Amino acid sequence: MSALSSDRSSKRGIARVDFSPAELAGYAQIAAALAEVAEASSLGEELSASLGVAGVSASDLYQLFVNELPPFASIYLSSDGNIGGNSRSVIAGFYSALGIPTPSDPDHLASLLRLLSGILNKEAELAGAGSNPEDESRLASVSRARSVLVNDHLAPWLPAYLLRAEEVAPRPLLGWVSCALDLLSVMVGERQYVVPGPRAYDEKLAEPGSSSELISWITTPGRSGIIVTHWDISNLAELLGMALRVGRKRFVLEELWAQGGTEVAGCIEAMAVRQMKLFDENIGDFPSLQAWSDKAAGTQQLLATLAGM
Amino acid sequence: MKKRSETARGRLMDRASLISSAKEVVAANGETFYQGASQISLASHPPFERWDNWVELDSKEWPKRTERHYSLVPTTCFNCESACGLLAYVDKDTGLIRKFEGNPEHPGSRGKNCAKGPATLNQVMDPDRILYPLKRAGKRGDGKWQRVSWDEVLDDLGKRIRLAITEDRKDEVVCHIGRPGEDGYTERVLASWGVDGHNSHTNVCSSAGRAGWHYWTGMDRPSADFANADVIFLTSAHLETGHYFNPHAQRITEARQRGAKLIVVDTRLSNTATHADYWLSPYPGSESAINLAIANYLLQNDLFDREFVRRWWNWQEWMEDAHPDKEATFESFLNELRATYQDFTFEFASRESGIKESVLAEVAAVVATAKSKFASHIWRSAAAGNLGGWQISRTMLLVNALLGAIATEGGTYPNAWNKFVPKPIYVPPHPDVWNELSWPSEYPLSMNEMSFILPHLIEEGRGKLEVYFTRVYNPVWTNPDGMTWIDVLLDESKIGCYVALTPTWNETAYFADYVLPMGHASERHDLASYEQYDGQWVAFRQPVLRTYRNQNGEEITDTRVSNPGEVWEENEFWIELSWRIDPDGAMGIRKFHESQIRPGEKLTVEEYYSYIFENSVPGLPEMAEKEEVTPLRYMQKHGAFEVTKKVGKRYEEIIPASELDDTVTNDHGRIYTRTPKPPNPNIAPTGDPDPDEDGRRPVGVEVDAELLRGFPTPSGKLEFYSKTLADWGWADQAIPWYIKSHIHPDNLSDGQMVLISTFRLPVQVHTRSANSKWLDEIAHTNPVWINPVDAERLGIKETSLIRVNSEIGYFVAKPWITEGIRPGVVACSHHMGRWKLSEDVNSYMMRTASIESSGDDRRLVPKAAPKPFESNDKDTTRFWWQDVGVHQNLIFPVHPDPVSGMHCWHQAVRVELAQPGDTFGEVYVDRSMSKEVFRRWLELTRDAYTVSPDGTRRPRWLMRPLKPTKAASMLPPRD
Repeated sequence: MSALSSDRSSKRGIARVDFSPAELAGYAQIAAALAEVAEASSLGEELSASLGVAGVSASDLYQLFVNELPPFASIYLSSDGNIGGNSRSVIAGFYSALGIPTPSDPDHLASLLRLLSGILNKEAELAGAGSNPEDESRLASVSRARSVLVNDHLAPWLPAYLLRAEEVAPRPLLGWVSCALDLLSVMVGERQYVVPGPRAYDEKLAEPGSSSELISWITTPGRSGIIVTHWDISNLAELLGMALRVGRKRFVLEELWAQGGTEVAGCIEAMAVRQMKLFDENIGDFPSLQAWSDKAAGTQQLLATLAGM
Repeated sequence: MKKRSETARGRLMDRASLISSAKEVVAANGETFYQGASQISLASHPPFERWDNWVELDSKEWPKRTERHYSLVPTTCFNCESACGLLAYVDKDTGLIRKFEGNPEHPGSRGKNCAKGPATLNQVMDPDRILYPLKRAGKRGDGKWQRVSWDEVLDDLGKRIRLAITEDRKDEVVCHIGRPGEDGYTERVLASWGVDGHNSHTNVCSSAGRAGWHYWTGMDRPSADFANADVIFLTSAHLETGHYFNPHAQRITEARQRGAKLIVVDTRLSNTATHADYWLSPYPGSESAINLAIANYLLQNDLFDREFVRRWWNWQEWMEDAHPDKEATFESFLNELRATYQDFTFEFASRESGIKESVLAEVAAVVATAKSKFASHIWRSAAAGNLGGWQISRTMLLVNALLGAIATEGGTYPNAWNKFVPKPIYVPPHPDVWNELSWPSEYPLSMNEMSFILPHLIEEGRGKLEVYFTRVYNPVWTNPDGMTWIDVLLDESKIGCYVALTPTWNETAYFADYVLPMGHASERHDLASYEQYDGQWVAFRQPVLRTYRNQNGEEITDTRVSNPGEVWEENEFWIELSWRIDPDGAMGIRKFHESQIRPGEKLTVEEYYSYIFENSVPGLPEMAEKEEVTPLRYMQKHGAFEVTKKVGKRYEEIIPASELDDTVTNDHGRIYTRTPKPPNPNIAPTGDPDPDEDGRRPVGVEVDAELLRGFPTPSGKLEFYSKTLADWGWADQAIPWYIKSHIHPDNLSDGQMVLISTFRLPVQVHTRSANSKWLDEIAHTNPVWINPVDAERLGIKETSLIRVNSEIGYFVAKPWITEGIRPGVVACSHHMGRWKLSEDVNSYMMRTASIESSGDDRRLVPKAAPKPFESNDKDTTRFWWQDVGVHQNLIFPVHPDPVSGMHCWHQAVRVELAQPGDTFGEVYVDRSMSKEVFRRWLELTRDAYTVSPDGTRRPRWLMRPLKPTKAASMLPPRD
């Protein structure tokens, strides 16, 4: 079977594709395995070992995928930081456009990776089938679907998510994060144009009217450009010697803010700077991080102003 | 900085290679590499491969992350009729059940449950459940009990029943079944004793809905293919509480997602009605008029399936009997049909129902668009409420039959084709006696036993009972006219020994001689199969901890060992009792409860179910072999098995030549054969038409020169015209028709309103669920729904107390003023108003009360609201509600429909403000009036002695749980 090498650029700048059928099938396998980890509450030993996450426990899975970083695209793309809403609907529409049933959680990473796996498998099958005009045409369609999935529905949020996961994930899950970053970097590698960010990216950073509004902004990744986890907040409280309440991130931050808004603003500003740096370092692999970095810079400037007041 | 993507491809290919290798190894072991989701969707379930060791974090320990290891053991819910699959999570550390969730292996419920399923845990852990056999210590009804051994109980009952049978008092042994939750075990036990002692709850439940279906099809209920329908027509509340509601609701929802139209006919704004495209709120009892107006619209506009009607209706019989002067051609039939129904216009239906003509016309037009994808359903609801309610069911089916939507994709199937009842190890012969207390001659067409008038018949001196069992049933509370039940139960000369088989305390058990604890869903064996889609399945209920402990090396052969206290299951109880009745086998009873593999020893439940799974469930042994387990083990592991799906039009099946020996075909195409009925492992009950005069059995029907299977009716076709009804005195009701209900406006006095008393709430089930704290917290009271117009007219405010007066008494309740009920009608939900006579019994749902008797006056007098109590469950000290509603059924006199035998639940009532001194929950009944109403309704009947065309007590082809011999079925000479 010959490697597929054709320039399939389109008016949307779809990337060159030069994966062999074997590579496509291999990536499909990896995407399916990554999906399993993202939604399971415990894993079979064979899968864990082969994916490089041996010893991962139910507790580890819970900590990363439920407690710290729930892998729903809508959390990271929406203008309110919640699951569901328009961001989820946009992704659900993509399933409809492909003519396949929309899963119950279409924007969950497991659903998206499973979809990617299915597309890659189809590409591998068509790419290995020899060349006739009908198959070529179908292959072009399938490749286009993959490109749209990767660049429109994964690339805008997943790099930032994975880079933060690399910092907060339990040790046994670092292999999963690394593998996911590898796969995503390969998938978006040939991208020739900058991904237009979701609408929330384009909004101007408004002067917050209250601490509550500001905290809402900070905890909405699509607005602030930073991803704040429970782990971050816990560290912040410990650093400042403040009492930590239990609850949703917004509630916990509001309670900390009540104990010392300036100090908390200062810590989050530092957090924004650090995350901006993290994103900048990886823009070469993931161009969409430019938008995250810009947003984080805006957040940093606002918090610097507040901290200095 | 070096880009990750530059080195990633090599790493990824290495990783892919490792994954592929691992996947191959796992697949070679027959296991699943990708075991599926478990946390991102409610539809996700633990993958079957991991049921032996399923790990979850302990929610109660949050934020500490403590892993719990479970063994997941399937069973079947016992909290309503649906028989949904449950998975019991057995904690491996404690050996106790920690929770119940849905069983994804169950083809009917598909892993989904309503609130009642998981609440099984409350019932299992109920701190006040009955754990040991109890025997009455004082006088009957004194409420004094002593613990006794199972041996003592069995010896006493065995002796009493043996004497009754040997002294030819077989009709003195009766078992009164609540919702069976199993397919025929108890019936076969009674058959083995040779008694006609089966008494069901069905005539207070669904027999009118069944009757309408049975007269048409020879089968007794609908199995609507909701998922594939284009138009769904419900005279029910199927999205919340209707029959088989969880399996049905999920399929109705699927259809709605596809764009199917939902039409709901319900006087009350149910949760189901809120989801409808068309909600029709008719005056109660007018539903037949609506159905007939739709049918008339289809007929007059030629929107029906002409070919289906020509081929499958018994129109020739109708023409010959009802129109002998007309030519019996199909065109002539259609002319007569149109003429017969032409007066059922939208204007007529509007006048009867109170619904606008334009709305009815619009609904009829929508129905017509469905063609063969018209799925309709009725079960209790209006059919159970009205005099002639069976015609509501019959007229609904008329619409299906006109559209040809019978056993079509998206249409409505007869239940027996979507049900699988496997043939058991023994099928005892039916009894040679006829119990006239259950099947009195006044009700020859009754679908089921006349159980709810039993105390009246006993009071009249028609007989007495030596041993009366109730099995998970509570007639004092559930049946109408409970005070009559209490009077009879208290009279030991009328009922020698009353035995309550029940998991929990109930109002009837209080009057028992023995209260015998029986298990909940996870504590007993049963088989179930119900019509929930176009397929057939069997589900296995099992004592979860017995199975779990046996899996882990113990050898438990008695369910009492693994159940709490000495709680038992009925199957083992019946086997043991049968041996006590016939210890040496001389009576011919014991042989039906003996082991076949260990002759002379008792049959065990393992052998009983092993036999069924190995011999009577096609495909199950093969599936078990693939997993290298026995069929019994397969069912213990999976909990359910789908026998077949896409059953299709059974009536169109061509009869094989091997069944056509020496056939005779009558004038209407009915084919009779000498060939014996081929063995069939599925014994789902259907009508059983009589053989011809020479003893040939009916095998099918000739249609357009083809020999087809047809329907199990006398004609072999759909009986638009029921010759049975005509021959048995009801020629005026032999075709689908409109009967004015007993609560029709013409039959009400000034100021009377209609009370709808039958509607269920989504989280309760009769009195069976009352010991579930989760369910009780959600629903614990039953205010009377009343329209604001009526409330204003009567001066009723939300804070008022009201009296609701029936013909025989009154109850005192709270009102709920709502536009969810139409003016002129009030409604009060089922399940509530529970009471107990003793402070010794604790309950979330029962108030303490006393019963006061004076002459014919009976009063239920509230004494104390439920109050928190100390137990090993801290929640019993925390429950906050005191309002547990009112026991309304006590003031309902018996209303037996003269045809179907169904109790007609709707009541003509007067509603008024409570009088000074009235207490919430108080009930008054005048027993002299209850007797008078019973006699008045008895006068509506047409006695078999008057109408039987052949000297039999009842048409023998109609279904009957126990079918006495032909000799016993003949009317005896009258004294």
